[in-house]
Amino acid sequence: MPLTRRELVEAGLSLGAALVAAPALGAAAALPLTPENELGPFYKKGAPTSANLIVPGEAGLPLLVSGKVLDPTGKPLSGAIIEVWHADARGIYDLEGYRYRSRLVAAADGTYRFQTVMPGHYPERVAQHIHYRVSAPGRKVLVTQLYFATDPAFAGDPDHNFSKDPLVRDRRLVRPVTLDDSGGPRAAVLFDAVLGT
Amino acid sequence: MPIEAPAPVRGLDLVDGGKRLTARLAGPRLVSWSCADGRLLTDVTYRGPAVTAGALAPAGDRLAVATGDGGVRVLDASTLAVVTEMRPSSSPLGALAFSADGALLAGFARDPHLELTVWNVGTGARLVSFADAAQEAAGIAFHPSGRSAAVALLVGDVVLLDLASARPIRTLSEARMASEALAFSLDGSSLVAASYDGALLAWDTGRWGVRRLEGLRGANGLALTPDGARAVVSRTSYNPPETPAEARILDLGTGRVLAGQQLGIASIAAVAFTGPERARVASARGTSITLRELGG
Repeated sequence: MPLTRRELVEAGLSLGAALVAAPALGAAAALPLTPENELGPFYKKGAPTSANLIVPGEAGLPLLVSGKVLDPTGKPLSGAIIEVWHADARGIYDLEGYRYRSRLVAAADGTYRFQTVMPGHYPERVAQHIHYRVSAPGRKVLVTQLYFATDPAFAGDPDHNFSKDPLVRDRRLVRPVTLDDSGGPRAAVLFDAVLGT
Repeated sequence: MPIEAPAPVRGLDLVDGGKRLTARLAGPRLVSWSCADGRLLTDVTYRGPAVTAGALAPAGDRLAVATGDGGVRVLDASTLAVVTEMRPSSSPLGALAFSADGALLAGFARDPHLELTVWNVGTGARLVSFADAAQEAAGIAFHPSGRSAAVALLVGDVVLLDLASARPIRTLSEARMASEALAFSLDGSSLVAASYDGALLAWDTGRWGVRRLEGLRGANGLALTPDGARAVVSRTSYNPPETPAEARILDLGTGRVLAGQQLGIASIAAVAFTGPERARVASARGTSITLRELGG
């Protein structure tokens, strides 16, 4: 079930709240690698390159996901491939086609972004999530998942409740959500991927 | 035919050419019935360390269990007496699978990264260890020669492993999604994989040419006729959970659906051929098991 604006506000994540703290990009500071998380059974090869995953007429809170793909020194990994896939707002994955699936390419500054809807709760999982598979030449492929601090499963306290989903093994994968009210409710999440070797 | 299990069913196997149905329950407790008349054959419970994975040999005579202490044992399925104590795996196991002849046993680490161990069931010797930290496994099938195995990866690829050297021989990249269910024909001339996206891929193992047929979306069960000419595929209820479970018999030469049946809501299913165009299908939800015949 998509999140309502009320749920977002109750979670203390009103418009303008700070997003994920951007990592310091000083050359000396090594960024921590993005934690890995399971690939799951629903990865599908051959997704189209599309930054707009919204399916006209389908329910769901619009969601903007953006971030950077970086190496541990903070150098942008231009041309990195970011494959994303998730369930629709009802918690159902498209197996036959490519709804809510995309293969994005990081820009010269390492940035990527896509529009989609907030994933629903897949019945066999506790938490809403977006799957990621990120690859770049000379880097270890990163397989991970993005979770949402506003997820009702975390009961407003992801610090204490993130492990209610046993697959969420690292708190850092649970990201704050902000609400943009201009032109209708829309959620936004920042998610950087730091790839090791 | 309806059958009521004494506890919720965790796994189902149609063994001994589909003549017997065996349910794996918590414990593990192994309960077997005759498929001919539903008569209870065995009901035994394993007493030992906590079990993390189990698998029944296709003949139904052996049960393999992996335990939390790292142990891997092959038991007599009718008494659960230990037959072979395997050399322990380096990591706790999350899944086990026998070869079609029951001579080899594969164990996958509970850690999601691919870590496969293969044992000789007769001697308990560890034959092969193979790891790939960049991959996760979906399923395995042994070539009937016992010299190689096909490991299906969650990214869709199927990797053929040489079991003597533990080296990949070939990667089959035609499947777009993972194939939890895959099998070699009895003569080893073909390999069939049921991909989650509904494609049924059949490779000729001589030249590795592939045929893509329409199977069953979300398929997670598969059996082949001994000549590899037909397949029965099944899926359980998931994505969404109200999806009816289903089974189909397909002619692998023409791609034609020879028979199909919806199985209602079921979280577990097992399939086996009982004739050239006839299959037996078992499905379970909770403690309720239903046995069905499919095709003529």
